[in-house]
Amino acid sequence: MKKYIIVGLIAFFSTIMWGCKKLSEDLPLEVTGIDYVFDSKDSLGVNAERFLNNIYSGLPNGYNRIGNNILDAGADDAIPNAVGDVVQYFSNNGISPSNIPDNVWAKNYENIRKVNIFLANIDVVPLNLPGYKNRWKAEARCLRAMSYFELIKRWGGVPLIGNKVYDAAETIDIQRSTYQQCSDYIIAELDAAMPFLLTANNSVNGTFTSNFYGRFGRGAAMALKSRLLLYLASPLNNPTNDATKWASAAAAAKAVMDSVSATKFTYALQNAATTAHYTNAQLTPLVPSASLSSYVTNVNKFLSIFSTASNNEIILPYMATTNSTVESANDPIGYTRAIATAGKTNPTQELVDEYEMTNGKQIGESGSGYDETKPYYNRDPRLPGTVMFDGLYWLNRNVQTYDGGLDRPFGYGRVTKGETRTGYYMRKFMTSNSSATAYSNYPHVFPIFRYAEILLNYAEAQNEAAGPDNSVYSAINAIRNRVGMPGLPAGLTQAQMRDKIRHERRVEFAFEEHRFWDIRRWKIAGNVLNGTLHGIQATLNNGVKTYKVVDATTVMFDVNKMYLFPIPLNEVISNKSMAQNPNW
Amino acid sequence: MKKYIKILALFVALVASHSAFAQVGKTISGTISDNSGPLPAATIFEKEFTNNGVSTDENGKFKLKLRGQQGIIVVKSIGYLSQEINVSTKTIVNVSLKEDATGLEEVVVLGVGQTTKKITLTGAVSSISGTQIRQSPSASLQNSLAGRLPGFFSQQRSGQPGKDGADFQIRGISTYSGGTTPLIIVDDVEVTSDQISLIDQNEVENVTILKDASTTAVYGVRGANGVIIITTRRGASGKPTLNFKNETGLQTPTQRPVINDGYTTLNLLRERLAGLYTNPLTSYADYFSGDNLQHYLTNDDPYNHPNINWWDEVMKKVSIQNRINFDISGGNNTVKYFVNLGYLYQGGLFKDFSEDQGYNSNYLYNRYNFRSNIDITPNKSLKIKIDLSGRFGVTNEPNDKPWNNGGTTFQYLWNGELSSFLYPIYWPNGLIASSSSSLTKPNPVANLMYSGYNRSYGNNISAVTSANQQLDFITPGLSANVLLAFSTDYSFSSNLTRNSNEILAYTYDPATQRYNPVTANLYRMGALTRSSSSTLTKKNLNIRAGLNYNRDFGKHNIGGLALINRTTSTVLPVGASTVTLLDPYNIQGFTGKINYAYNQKYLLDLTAAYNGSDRFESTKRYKWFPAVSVGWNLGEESFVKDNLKFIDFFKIRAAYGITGNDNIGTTTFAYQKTYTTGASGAIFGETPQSYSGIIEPTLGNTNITWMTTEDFNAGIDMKLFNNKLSVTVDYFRKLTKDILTTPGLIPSSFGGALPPYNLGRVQNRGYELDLTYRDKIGDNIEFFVNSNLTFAKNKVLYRDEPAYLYDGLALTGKPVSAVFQYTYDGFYQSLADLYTAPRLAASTPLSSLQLGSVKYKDLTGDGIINANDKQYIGNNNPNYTGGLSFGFSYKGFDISTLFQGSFDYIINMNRGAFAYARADRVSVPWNLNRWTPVNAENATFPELSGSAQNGFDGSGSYWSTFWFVKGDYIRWKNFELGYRFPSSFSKKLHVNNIRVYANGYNMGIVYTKLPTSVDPESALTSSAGEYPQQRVFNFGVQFGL
Repeated sequence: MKKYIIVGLIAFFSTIMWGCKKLSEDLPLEVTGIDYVFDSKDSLGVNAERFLNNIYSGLPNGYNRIGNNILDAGADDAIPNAVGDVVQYFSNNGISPSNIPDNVWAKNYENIRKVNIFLANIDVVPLNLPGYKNRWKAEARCLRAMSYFELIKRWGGVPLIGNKVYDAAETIDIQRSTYQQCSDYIIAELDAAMPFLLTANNSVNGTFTSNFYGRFGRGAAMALKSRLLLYLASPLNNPTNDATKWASAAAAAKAVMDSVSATKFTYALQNAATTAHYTNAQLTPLVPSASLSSYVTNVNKFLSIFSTASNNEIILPYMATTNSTVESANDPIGYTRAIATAGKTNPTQELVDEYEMTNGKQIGESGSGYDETKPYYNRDPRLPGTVMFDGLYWLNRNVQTYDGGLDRPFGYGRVTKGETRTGYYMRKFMTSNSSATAYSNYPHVFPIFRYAEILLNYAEAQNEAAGPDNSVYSAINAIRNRVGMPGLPAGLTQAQMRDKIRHERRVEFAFEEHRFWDIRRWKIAGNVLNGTLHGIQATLNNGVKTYKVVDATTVMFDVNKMYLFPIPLNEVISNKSMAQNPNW
Repeated sequence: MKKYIKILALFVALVASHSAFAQVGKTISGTISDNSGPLPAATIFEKEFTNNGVSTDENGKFKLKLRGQQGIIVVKSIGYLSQEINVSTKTIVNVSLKEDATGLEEVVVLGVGQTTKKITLTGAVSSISGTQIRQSPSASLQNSLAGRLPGFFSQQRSGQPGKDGADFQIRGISTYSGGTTPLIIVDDVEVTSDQISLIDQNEVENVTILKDASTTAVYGVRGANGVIIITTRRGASGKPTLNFKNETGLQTPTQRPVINDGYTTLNLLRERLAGLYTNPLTSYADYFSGDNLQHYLTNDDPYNHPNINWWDEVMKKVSIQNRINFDISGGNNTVKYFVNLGYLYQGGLFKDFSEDQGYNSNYLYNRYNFRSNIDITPNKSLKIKIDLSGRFGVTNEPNDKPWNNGGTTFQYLWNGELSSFLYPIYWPNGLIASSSSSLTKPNPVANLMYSGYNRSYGNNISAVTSANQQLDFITPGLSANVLLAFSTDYSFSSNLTRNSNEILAYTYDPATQRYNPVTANLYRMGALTRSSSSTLTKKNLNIRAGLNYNRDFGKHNIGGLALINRTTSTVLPVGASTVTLLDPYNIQGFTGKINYAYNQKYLLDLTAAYNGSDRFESTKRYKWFPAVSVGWNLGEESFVKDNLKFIDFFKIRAAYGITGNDNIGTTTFAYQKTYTTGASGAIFGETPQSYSGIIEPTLGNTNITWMTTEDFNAGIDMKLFNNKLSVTVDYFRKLTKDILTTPGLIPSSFGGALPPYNLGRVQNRGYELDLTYRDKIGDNIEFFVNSNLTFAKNKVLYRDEPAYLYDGLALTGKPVSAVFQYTYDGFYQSLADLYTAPRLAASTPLSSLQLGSVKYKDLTGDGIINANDKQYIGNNNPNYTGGLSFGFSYKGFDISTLFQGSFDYIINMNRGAFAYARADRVSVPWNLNRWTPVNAENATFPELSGSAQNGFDGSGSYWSTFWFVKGDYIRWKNFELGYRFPSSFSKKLHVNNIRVYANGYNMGIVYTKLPTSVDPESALTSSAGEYPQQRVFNFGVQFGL
């Protein structure tokens, strides 16, 4: 009997001893806190720099970012190939406070919070590289300014939260600042940051080396200021047409241009052609043989802006490693690799008609030489550089968007295989023109700011502030001449010049996320986004193609409310002080 | 630690003062019998010293040496009324026990090794005996519980061998995040929910479910979802009893897709193409040009104009299930044993295409079970249990998905995606046919023949030892016990596969009259590749020590319990991306219980557990989980006893308590925030280069803790009319609080990711009803009828949802498994209808909508149909579940059967109705009643050309109440028909007894509203591609040696 009790006792005792031995930790020791990121011992600031790197990934990224569509497919330049794609909600009245396709509210406030965390903690790091800490801080403030600009161009004035980092338990009850207050804040931030930012030859904050490309330099800060002031002076935000606003917008653009001439920056219009795009033979049908060679050079030159990772025209890129995502999202569906997500962007006839003849005349103008049976003959070189139309050479054959052709097999009116709804596909940004059936990876940096914009910003602001003087002509003609288009005729009135500038912005910046905002800030969306957008129907009969302009889709734009996005519903409900935009 | 020491000290003190009291008394002997003869395994013990007892041998004989002075012995046997006999004047005692018709002496198993008598039970508990479980030939134990136990909800999603176990909950669902599966305890040791289906039915003595706080509170932080307690069989004294059982079952699917033949489908296709304004003659010349269609009608050219029902081609008519069991039990007063060996084989439904390839790629399941339960009683006051058990399973599956581009063959069969007219199985020269287009599905036969298999092995061993020491020398009724359980779980997989690009199949090109390989330039079959991986390694350790007290003082009965327990589990999830998920995980706590009964009439039960889990921050780990329950045996009161003679037993009871659930849906250490490197960095440089990034994680919330459930239960137990009718009625109300929820109503201007908080609330209310009638007709016929019904309805009370424009979009106020979809509003019947009906946000009339398309209700009234009109349309979990069983026995025959049903829920029955989302698919009879201008009034299916807007493109973007219909069903779940040969016959064969029987599982669906051949317990979405549920028709023979 006793021995059982002893055995039982030993068993019990050892069990309890075992139970007390700790095999798990009271705290999770493997977690890393903020003192690991901003380390007071790290003279290189390795993790702090990584934190900043992550903020860069929040820059606006362009391309097919809205449900696999480009933003401009929600404007009058293009429509998506699928009937139900959400980007169209911008042009068919589908947006509501709970349904905003381009809802970057949260994304940008996340960036703002990250910047605030960075600014609040970076001083802990004993950074041992001269000038770096100030430059990092300045870059962070510019990234924050960029985020605010992204917010106000969509929603108008938004809450400014300064340097505050909210705590999880805090109640957020903060009013919207006005558009003007937000703009003032952004400009103040940019101005404060500018002295510390990288310039091409500035040695104070570290020498600019090629591996700094893609960072927020002083040129980028000035470009952002230029765009912001232009938007601020535009009819949407300047209902009284206060000329001083235009003047300061012109001055901001001029400042960038002057910096270039003073050789502090090395920005310039990209003027080199990459022959990888087109050979003479491939574009033979598009122009008379006499001008073929220079035409091909001009097309290649325009395409080269977007097919190189870096060039002097790009002031601020959204950086990416080489890839082929743009091609696979937008290529015509008849190519063998085509998948369901291909052929997304379908440019409209309205955009195609905007391209002038090579003689500088609009297609409807007398003496233009436009031939309806050969609609793509002798057009602005930027047309084949922007739009893929029937017969344009691409990947070892000509595009077939006539009814029953490889790229429109079911013909006009059908979207069975994801074929184009307008008869066009997008050409811009598509880099590879090789004979291969699969795409190799190419650089695809999205130009957030490029020098051409500065010139057109200047032309527009100066024309409004001072009229069409010589500086306006030279700014706009620089862009036209680059692709071999003739300069503007002399003696235009201010209004005529305004139209020319708007035309130039549309054809130069198609699909670069300008048109979508331009029609808003000029308050013309009510005109151009109401009614019907058109496409082309090409039919092939006995080897003869005929072209007919046809309806592609109906669009509607409610001018009472749609110039501003609705504030996301959740913001209005959860932040007591948040006011909704008018009529939403 | 201090607490351990105190208890240890107490324990040592108690043990040390032992054994001074033993006395010598006289020895009595005798025979215990019932009205049919001697009764083995009855227990006889002294009333004064309850640990001084013996049990009868196989001839009902016993011998007992008395220690006390009173001279009163108690004779007990399960299923009989116990008797007290004064033996002060006798040495030979012969007792005849009476059967306990009331069942009130029946022992009810409670948690942590506790049992109680039915009459003194104050909680809500249901149980089912192993015998009843064994009437169902399903391979998974939980499938045998459906319809048997009030409060038990289950949904069997699949019939796949080795994976056919149902999902189950007790009293429905009470939370929208975190675990809803009950805690499962096998012989006092917790197992995971997937292991319950590995348990051999032959090992099971009893399955009990604990449903209310008074019974689950002892499990504290783990009790909120209810507890399933499984006890295994144990040996009884007597000569060894050997049982051998062999069962063979025939498995067939309960449902199969019913499809139209190729010719009918092609005619529908032609109509669809016309609707799309395309010319069938040019776009599908192979089908429609010339006399092609005629060939499909006459089937005179099976190679070029095939008509194949793939289901018939790849499936066997019937597959085999086999089960063999061998058990021995027996023992004497010192050692008792029960040993079981089990083997189960479940065959797969596919034809054995791979046989000639030298391997088996069919679905199959093999399971080997082993259990040895040993009870040792070294002396009269000490009981030791040593249980060893093992479960070894092998599950085989075809390597289905690569060849199928990610889908399973069953998915394509159910969805009708395998065209019946695209290609034959083999070409005339024996080459295997298939299609090369990515838009059509490849030949499943090539897949089953060449793709190889995926095989997974699960090995599971556990050892449970426990000891119980009577401490009567300190005070009578006191005992101490310890338990140590260890289990380990190891699984790995072994695969033999062939790359889908290296499988030879051919298309035929009539122009060149050549057979071309589907994969270009592939002219030989690729090699098979063997691969393996270990998938899980898990260790579980459970230790428990406690004190028990139970004693009668006259009419007063007092019981108590105090115990410490600790469970540690360590998991190495090989290859899992979330290693921290299953880091060391410890639960420990203290449980105490006091119960008091006066004259078995007034009952009071107090339970409290102080319990913690290290999933939470150190100050948030422990909490009290108290419960109180009361009972009143009203039937014992004279005003009932004397006036209402038909009432034999009448108890009312109520319980209230708080239980917890630490399975809140987070990882261990979720309360901390961790900055992780490598997250989206930046790219810089004229030659772009990546630089890594680091981000602020989701903010931490050190306050994260378990969810708690306030649980109220009230019930009535009655037995009426000479115990023929038993009634149990329960009402319950659960309020689950602190459900871990990420706040939705927070401005994004905050800028960070908020952690989840304990803030959600869900209410779950319902009732249960259980009625049993049992009677005899004459002497030989006994019969019973049982019906039970459970109603449980939950509602989300609060969850901090993001703001919705319309109330109908919020989950708050709706059931946890609410479905939000469009509301069907008929078909577009006229052009005017197309133009005036609310506009689909994504469509322009005429270009994408057609007459006969599905029209949706504009619930928001804004003239536009968009996501805001997707509102609450129903609940995917049944609110009602119930069962009806009845049976009778006559001499050696016994027959019983069970019907089970679930009601008041909706499911998506789109399976097989997808025809014409793509041209090369099959159609179902339902499609024939499509909308056409002629059939506009009577159509039950939309017109065929539109797809997305009609909701049958499979994308789910336009699903509506047209597709979601009531899933209510009644199923003939089980039957059993058995015959026990008379002993005179079995003696001739030199065995003790022989029984032959036939039983069945899932015999058929008696009632369903579904218009297509979908099993009403199927998963919510069709992409699941589940293995069809199986009907098992089983024959068995059992020998007792």
